[in-house]
Amino acid sequence: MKKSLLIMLILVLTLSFTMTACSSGSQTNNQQAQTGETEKAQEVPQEVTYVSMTDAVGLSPILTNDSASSNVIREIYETLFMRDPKTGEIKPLLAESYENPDDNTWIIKLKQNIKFQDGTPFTSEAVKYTFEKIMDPKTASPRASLLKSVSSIETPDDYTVVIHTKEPYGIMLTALAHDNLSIVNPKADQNGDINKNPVGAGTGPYKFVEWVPGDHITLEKNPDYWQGAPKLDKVTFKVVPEMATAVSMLETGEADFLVGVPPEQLDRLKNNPDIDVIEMQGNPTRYLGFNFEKKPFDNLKVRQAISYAINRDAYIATLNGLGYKSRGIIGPKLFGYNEEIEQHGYDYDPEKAKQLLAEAGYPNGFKTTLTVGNTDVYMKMAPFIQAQLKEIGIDVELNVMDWASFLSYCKAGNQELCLNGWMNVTGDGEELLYPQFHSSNIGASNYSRYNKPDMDAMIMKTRVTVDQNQRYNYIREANIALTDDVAWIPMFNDVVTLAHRKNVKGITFESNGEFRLNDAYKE
Amino acid sequence: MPLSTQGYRISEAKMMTETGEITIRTDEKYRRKSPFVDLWKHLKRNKLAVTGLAIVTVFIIVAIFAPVLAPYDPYKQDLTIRLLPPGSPGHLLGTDEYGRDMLSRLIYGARLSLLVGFSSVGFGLAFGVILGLLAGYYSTLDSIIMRIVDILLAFPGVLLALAIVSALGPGIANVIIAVGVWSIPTISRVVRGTVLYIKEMDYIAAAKALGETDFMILFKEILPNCVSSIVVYATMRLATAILSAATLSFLGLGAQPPAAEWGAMASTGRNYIFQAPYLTLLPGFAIILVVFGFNSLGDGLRDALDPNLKNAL
Amino acid sequence: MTGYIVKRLLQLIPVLIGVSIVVFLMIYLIPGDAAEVIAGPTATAEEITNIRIKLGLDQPAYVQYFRYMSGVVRGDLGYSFQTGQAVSEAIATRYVNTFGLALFSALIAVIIGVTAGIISAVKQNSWFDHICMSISILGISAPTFWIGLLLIIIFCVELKILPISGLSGQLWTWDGMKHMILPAITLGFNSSAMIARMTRSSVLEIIHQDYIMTARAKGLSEFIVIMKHAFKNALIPIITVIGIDFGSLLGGAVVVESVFAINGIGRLMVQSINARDFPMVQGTVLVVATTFVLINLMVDIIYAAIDPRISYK
Repeated sequence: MKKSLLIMLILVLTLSFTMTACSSGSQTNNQQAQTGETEKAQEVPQEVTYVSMTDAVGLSPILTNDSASSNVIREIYETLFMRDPKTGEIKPLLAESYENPDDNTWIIKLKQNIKFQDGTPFTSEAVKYTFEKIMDPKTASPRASLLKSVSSIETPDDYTVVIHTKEPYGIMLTALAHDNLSIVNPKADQNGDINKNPVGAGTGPYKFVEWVPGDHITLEKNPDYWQGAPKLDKVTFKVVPEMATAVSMLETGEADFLVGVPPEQLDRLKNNPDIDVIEMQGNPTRYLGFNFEKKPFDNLKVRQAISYAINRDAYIATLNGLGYKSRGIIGPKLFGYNEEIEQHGYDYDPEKAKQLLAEAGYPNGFKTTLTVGNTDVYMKMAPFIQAQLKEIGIDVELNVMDWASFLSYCKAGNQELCLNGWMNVTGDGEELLYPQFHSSNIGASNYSRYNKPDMDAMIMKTRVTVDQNQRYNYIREANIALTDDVAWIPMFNDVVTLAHRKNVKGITFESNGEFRLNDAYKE
Repeated sequence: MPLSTQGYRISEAKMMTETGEITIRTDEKYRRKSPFVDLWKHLKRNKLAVTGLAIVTVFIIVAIFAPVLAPYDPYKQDLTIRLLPPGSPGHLLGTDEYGRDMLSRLIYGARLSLLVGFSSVGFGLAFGVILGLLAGYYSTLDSIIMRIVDILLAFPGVLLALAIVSALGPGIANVIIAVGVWSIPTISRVVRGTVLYIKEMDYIAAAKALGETDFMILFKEILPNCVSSIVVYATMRLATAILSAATLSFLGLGAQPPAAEWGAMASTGRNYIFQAPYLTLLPGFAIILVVFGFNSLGDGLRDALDPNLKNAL
Repeated sequence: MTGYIVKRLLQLIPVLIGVSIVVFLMIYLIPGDAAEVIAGPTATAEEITNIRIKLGLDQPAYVQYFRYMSGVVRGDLGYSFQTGQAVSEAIATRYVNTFGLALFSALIAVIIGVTAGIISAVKQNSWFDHICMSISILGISAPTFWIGLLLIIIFCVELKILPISGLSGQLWTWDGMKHMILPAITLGFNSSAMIARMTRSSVLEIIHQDYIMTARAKGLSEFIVIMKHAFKNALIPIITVIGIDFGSLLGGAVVVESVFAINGIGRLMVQSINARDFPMVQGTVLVVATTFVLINLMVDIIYAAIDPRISYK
């Protein structure tokens, strides 16, 4: 029977050799695949498959608030305004122009001759219908707060919308560029459930075909698209929950593109001659957050000490180029960022950290817990922070929980330290300041329980000021104040990635990790 | 080693019923050779079981002496030497994504993985044995307990563990509870079956006739006779428990970082499967080896202690 | 027999009620609720409250439970909190996939397991025997996700002979089978190993018995002897393994479903519990539990059909 053990060992060894051989053998295999592909390049079917780790929750912009849903919604529906992916400026999309006769009135002219996918003309009535539905508490829209300041909507004619606000709403345009304020076809919404079956529901370049929940969503070209029919005939959004599987599918050509390559897989994809990886400094930011209601994190010196204790550069070096540093709370890709913030913040200096900790009255450190949601990006960061804080005598216990528990735990303010991130949809600094640091959001998105009246006042200014230059300065000032106060410790900003088969061209990729397929095609 | 004594006793009981003798407790067994020697004699003939025993013993020794054997602190990070391949000078099996020594982590991993295995099986036994004894002995309780066991059995094990870990949070202790609960229904079934069998034995009737209380009969007469089947089952279950912990890690609910638990290591290592395959391969092999050890030891024990169990397990 | 089946079916009712209560308590006790998940991290308190009211989560727990159960009694499994999809519809599509996967992998497990087991037994202690038994031990000793990923890398990425994603199009077409083969092997590996071991030992036991000797003496070919006599007797343990595994396959396929991107019921269950989607969790668990009980009943009935010595009252 010793033989069987021997054989087992041989099997195991063979397996591991195959694995090592894999890394060296892949090059040739891939080349073969490539030549194979050029042969049949004559008539490439214009179909692409995108792989995502999670399925969409719904396909109605009114009822969803997650990126997997938004990725699909963006192809079916359109917003009144959009942020230019290159310049970051807000420009009209379904809208033609706008004017502000006063701070509380927005007159928006709409483009004419645009049709929903079922042929219904797009008019001001659809805008009014969509927005009023979102504002109705019975709808329970998860992004109702985007229109919280709106008091009424009028439609003097088919192509004019007048939005009245209760107080000046300086971020109206950024809000109107938000995917969740995409305009819905009232007829489609009344005739069926567009959250599941959005047939003819939008004005976008692709039409809904089918959704097999948990498996895939299929869209097809909208031949009557007002900006000209897209080149792709068919787009499939396929759910693949395991990243290693998704990457393998991209390599074998079963998938055409994916977003968010993990650092560990980056080199392999980059070395694959069939695959291109687009890397771009992005706006998502990852941070170590404090609970200001728990001692000793109400103490500025303790927060500074922790900031001095963490060697961000060393951590970023492990990300294989998929993270970059910024010292401020509001990162370089957001409206309101100014380079001067890089003079603020605190760099790695463990001696200074220990000294500050002693000054704060904790010469021997203290014990605390770090609450982490079990997502790869945070799970990887947690042991690093734990090890770093141990160096200055802070004994950190990790408190890992699943995502739903994490949300509930942090909203209730039970955590001491936590790891979290913020992805800005509109690209405007206000969209970070208000949810994260305004006292009215304590118990909701303000996990830090940051509650300072002067900061509240400053944040309100960034919301109500209609003049964009003034707003810029307010956000800038708030950024400096929060960074100096160590409101949270920015760990790194994401470098967003999109990996695609080389024969897929023309995908528009934005710094918030979103993509658009209007101009995409396959060679 | 009281375990083997009991194994001995059950075969004796059978022998006696076959010959139709009426026996009251048999003290004569103590006059014979030590039952441990007897078990060893059985086991020794089975080469696979001996291999299994050897593997398990080695791992237990590694677990106990981990601090002596491990060349480095398994939690000491050094980001300047990340992902060194196996065979690098100073790091025989390479380093992981934080620059921690893989060999040291695998050695300490033996501790945690065996801890998860033993404690969760212990947890399952504590509840499963009592439920099984009660159900087997009292026919009034039988149907109620068995319905509860049915519910637990019909309930998808993964979900149960998932719910427990979601409720209590991930972490070694909660993983132990989750995996332990998972084994309660099967353990109680095994025990109940054995009790039903033993209950009919003449010496139990005799003990009743002598006026022993139910409690005494359950714990002094019946339980010892169930031990052999429990031991066999528990050994096999250890293997499953270690695998279950790995599955929980895959679902993101296993041991918390930075714990060096094999399942967690294999699971987080899978992200590096292209870049540094040994990060997931090595802990995977460790699991295979120790699970192989427990399984073959369990097979051997079954053959040696209680051949009748063969079809029940 | 009919009486027995009816009795077993009636027993299903308390089990399902028990299961539903456990699920409810579970969802109720674990932190977080569906409204918070739907609203996401950006949500304001007001947004969460509105969603909670819409879903009825503002009602007391017992009201929620009875409201849900009164629907179930009428055959209405409710609507998903998260997607608004009818639970019965969501389950139906996934159930077919997982059932197909389980069936396919059971089939593979039986073919491989029985063949390997019989040959191993006949050629006891040959190289074939050793290799088979070694692979089977490997099969029950390795974490599923680990085996799955290795298979993907070897067969799909490097050798490029099989597609990665499980399930595309019709299961019973060649294309469908090609997609199904790796996940089915990954899932069935464990069972085939068990079946091989069981078959081998049952055949070994029987092969030396008198009537087989007689059959041989009569000059029947070795093949016929084995197939006719030995295999028939090996059926019972094989069916037991299939019964046990098939039940757990349905609930436990979550790992294979994740690794191979199969849209199955195990994944649905895990996703729903992560989203605190109570109607979906309740629905999937009830369906899985029912299947489990029914399959066990079927196994018992098959026992009686194969082995006339077994009868049910």
